Amino acid sequence: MANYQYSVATNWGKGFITHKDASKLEFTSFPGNVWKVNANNQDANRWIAGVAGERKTLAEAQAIVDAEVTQSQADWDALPADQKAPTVGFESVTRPEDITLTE
Amino acid sequence: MAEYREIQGAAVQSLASSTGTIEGQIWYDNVNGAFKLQTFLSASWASGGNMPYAGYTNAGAGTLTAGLSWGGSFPVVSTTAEYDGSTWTTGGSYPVSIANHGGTGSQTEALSVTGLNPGAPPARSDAFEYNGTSWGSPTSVGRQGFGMKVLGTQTSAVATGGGPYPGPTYNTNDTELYDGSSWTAGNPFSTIRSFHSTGGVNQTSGIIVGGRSAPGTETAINAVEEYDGTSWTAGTVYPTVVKECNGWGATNDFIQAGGSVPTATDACAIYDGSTWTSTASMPAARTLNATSMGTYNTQSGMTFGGSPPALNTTLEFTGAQVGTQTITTT
Repeated sequence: MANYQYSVATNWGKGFITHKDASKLEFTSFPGNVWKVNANNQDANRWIAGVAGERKTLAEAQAIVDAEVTQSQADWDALPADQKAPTVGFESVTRPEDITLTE
Repeated sequence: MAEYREIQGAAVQSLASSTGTIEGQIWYDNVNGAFKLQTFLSASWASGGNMPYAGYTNAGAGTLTAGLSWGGSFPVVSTTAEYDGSTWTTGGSYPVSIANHGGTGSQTEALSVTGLNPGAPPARSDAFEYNGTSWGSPTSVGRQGFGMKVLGTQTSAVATGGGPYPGPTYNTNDTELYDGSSWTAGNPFSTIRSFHSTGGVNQTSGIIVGGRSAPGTETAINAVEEYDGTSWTAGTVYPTVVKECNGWGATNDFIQAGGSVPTATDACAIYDGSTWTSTASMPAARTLNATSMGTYNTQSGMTFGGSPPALNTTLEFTGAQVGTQTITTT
């Protein structure tokens, strides 16, 4: 049985995740507005409904994250070489890494 | 069925508020008509209002209900935003587009030091004060400060580390002291650094954590140093190396929130003056983020902005504490 479930929801700010939510659930966000929360959990299901989350299977969520990471990697690859050099990088720009989601 | 009184030896008190209750006590809230429990609530991060701009390497000041963010990249901006606990609104613009700078103080008495706009080097050596409406009172810190961080207040501040850019040695161990009108050199700390975390009430007490070290590189370190108003001494090292980080609090109650280890992390830890203890992780990894100064403890505070990518989101922290939970039948 999966320990986590995925949904897509846009963080609108205040109230998106409350301290009450955070005290009951484990939240992790990924590129593409993908959110990972506990599975088989009424509080998690209420949270997803409350934020108008669109449920995704693991494969669907992975595809969304992959698309976002691929775009970010392409953007990084297009940067001038001097912005990639670690001794010069003003903001420590590093190439986005692949992300593997798990349940 | 046994009654509560038979099990506990006392009836459930009917009260108008939690005043006077103790941890573990069940009581009846006669104002709201609900049974409640005084219990230990763990620390947590919740989403706050979104900033009017997205950026990293921004600077922050103030508290959870009266916060301030200014500058950041990319693109580098001069925007200042004020937070009221729910909503960010724009304030008076910074005199120049700025990033990689340091900030401290309150929403109405903030201090900004040095920084660097990568598109307009060299690194800056000036400081400005915010009065709740506009930035002014420019002063010279006395040196360039790419990645300089500052602690304390607008009238009693300690600027630490950072350095000149361009140049191969932008990490320094220099300290500059500000009394509200002018800057003087303070005693240096041991480990050169930039893009580190700072905390502390004023010039009599401060803490610096992690950062980039080694001349001209971005090597993360775990070194902690504490300031007593005169000199720096080594504190307990942070559990991991960390850089491009931020935090808030005092030397005996400080929270480190995120940073790069060397990639962005969601990890947070609290320092009590001798020991680091993990606390609630943020929902997402965040580095080059700004934080409020809080109220010089870890009971509340927030982080806003950061990377990756450039973020406009806010995360509000509430520390572990005894609080009230409503008892429901579900």
